[in-house]
Amino acid sequence: MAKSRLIQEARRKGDDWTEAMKYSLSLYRKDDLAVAGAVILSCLFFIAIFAYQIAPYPQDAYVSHFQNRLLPPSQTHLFGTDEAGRDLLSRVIIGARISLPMAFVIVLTSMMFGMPLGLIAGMMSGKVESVIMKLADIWIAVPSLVFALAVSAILGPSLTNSVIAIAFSAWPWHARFIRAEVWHIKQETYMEAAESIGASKLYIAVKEALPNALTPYIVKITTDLGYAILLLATLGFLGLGAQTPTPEWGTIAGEGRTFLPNSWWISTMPGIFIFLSVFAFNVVGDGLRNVLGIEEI
Amino acid sequence: MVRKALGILLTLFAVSIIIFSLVRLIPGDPAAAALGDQASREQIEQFRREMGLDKPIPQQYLIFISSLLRGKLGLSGITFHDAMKDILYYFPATLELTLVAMTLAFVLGVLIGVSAGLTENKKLDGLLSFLSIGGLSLPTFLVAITLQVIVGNLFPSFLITGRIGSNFNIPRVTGLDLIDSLLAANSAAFFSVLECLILPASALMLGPLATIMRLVRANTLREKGKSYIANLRANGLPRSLLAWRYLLPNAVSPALTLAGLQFAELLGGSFVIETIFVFPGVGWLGVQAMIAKDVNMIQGVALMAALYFVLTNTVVDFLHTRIDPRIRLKEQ
Repeated sequence: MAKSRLIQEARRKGDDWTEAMKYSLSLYRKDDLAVAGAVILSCLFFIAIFAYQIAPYPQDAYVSHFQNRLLPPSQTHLFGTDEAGRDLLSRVIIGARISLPMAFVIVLTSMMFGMPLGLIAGMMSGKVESVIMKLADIWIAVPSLVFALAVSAILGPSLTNSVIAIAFSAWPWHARFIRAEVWHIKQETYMEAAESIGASKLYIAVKEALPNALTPYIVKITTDLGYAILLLATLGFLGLGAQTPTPEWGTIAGEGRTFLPNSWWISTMPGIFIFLSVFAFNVVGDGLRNVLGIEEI
Repeated sequence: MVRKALGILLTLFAVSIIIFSLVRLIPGDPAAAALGDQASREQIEQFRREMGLDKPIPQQYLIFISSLLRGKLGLSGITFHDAMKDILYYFPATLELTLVAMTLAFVLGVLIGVSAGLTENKKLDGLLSFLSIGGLSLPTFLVAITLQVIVGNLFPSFLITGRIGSNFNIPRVTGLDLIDSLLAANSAAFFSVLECLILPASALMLGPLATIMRLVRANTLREKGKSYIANLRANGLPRSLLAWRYLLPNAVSPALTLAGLQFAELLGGSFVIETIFVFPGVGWLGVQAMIAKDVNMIQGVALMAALYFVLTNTVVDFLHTRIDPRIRLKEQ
C-alpha cells in the first residue's frame, strides 16, 4: 500500500502538515544510523559549498607541482600528492563540488523525463500506457552502466556528456515507479470520488495522485542520488567521464590506477569519499522509508 | 513457448533500433571520432564511405539488420575482424564470471537474509543490515583494486589478472574454462581458473549480494509474522524445520525476481572488473571499444548486453515457475 505514514499523520491531525512533519522528524531522530547518514550528508554538503575555503591547497585542483610528485600522506599533505604533485586532499574536497551537484542534475533530468511519462501512463492507461511501458522495458534491457558508457563514448567523454548519458539511461525507472504508484492510488475511493464530481484527469493527476506518489518517490530519489554518484565515478574511473584534470572522484581514482600499489592513496582516498556519500544517501533513504512507513522497496 | 521467443525477438529488434539510432543520430561524427584529430578530410570521407555512414539512416539500418542476420556486425576498428567474431569469442569468459558471481550472491544472499530475519540477536541483525548497506554503497572499482593490491602483496604468487595461469593450455570446448579444464581432466588448470575467478567474482557479487540479502531479510520478517507460522509453532514444529521448509522457499521466490534484474548490474559491473583484472571478457572488450570509439563494436556490445539481460531473465522466469507453484498457476 502506498499510503505513507506522513500523509496518514497529516490527515489525522487535520491536514496540519507541520505537526505531521514534526512527528516524522522525531521518529527519524530515533534511528541512529539514519541520523549518522544525515550528519555525513550535511558535512559533505558543507565541504562542497566551502570547498575552496577548506582545502589546504585550493589551487591544486588544476595546478601541478612536479617536484612534489607522489608523496605519501604526511602532515603537510594529509592525503599525499598525486602524479602531478597536486595535494590529494584538496582535489578530493573540490571534487565534492562536482560529484554532489552533478548527482542532483542527473536525478533531476531523469525525473523530468520519467515522471511525466509515468504519470501519463498511469492516468491514461490503455494504449498510451502500453506504449510507454514497453518503451521503458526495452530501454531497461541494456544495463544502465553499459548504456551510459556507450552514449558517453559516442558523444565524446566529458563531464557534461557523462551526466547526460547517465540521466538518459535512468528515465525508465522513474516512469515505471510513478506509474506503479499511480496504479495503486487509482484504486483508492477518493480518486473515484474526485472523478465522479467531474474533476478532469489532469487535475486528479496533479492534485491527488502526485502528492501521494511523492513520499515513496523521495525515498527512491535518495537512493538514486547515491547510484548516480557511483555511475559518474565509474565512468570517470574508466576514462569515459570527466576528463583530467577535472578533479572528479572517479577520474582521480582512475588516474591513480597506474600507480598502484605503491602510491595507493591516489585511488583509495577518492574511493572512500564516494563510498561515504553513497552510504549516507542510502542510509538516509532507509531512514526516510522507515519513518514514512513505506513498505515497498 | 513460441510466443515468448517472438516476444524476445521483438524486444531485441526494438533495442537494436534504439541503439542504432543513438549511435547514428548523436551529434559527433563517428568517423572523425574513430580516426582521431590527425585525420584529413579525405581520410574521414573515405572512412565514412567504407563504413557506409554516408547513406540515409533507414538504409543503413536495413544493411545493418541484413548483415546481422548473416551473423556479421560490421568491421571493428580495433581488432580488424568482424565485431561479432570478437564478441562471440570473449563472451564465454564474461558468462562464466557473471554466473559464478550471481550464484554466490544469490546463495549467500538468501542464506544470510533468512538468518538475519530469523535471528533474535538484535545486534547481529543490526550489524548485518549495516554491512549490507555498506556492501551496496561500495564502488566496485574500489573493492576490485583493494582486493588486487592486498592479495597481490600478501600472496605474491596468487594470480590477480587473466583467466588462467599462463603455463596452461586448455583446448577450448565450451569457452567456459571451468568446464573445459574438467573436460581436459586437468585439475591443476581447474584450480588455476578458480584462483583467477575468485577475486573478480567476489568484487562483482558484493552489490547484488547486499541487495538480495536485504530483500530476503525483509520478506522473512514479513513471513515470520504471518498466522500460519504461529500455527505451526503452536503445533510443535521445531524452528529449524520451520526455517528450512517454510521460510526459505517463501524467501527464495521474490529473491529470484530480483536476481533477474541484478544480472544487468552484474554485466555492467563486469565492464569495470574485467578492465581492472585484465579478464578477457566482453566487458573488457567493450571498454576498449568505447575508449577507441569503435562504433560497430560498441553497438555489438550493447546489443549483446540486451540479449544477455533478456535471456537471463527468461531463464530466471522459467526457474521461477518451476520453483514457485503460485506463479505457474497464475500464468495458467
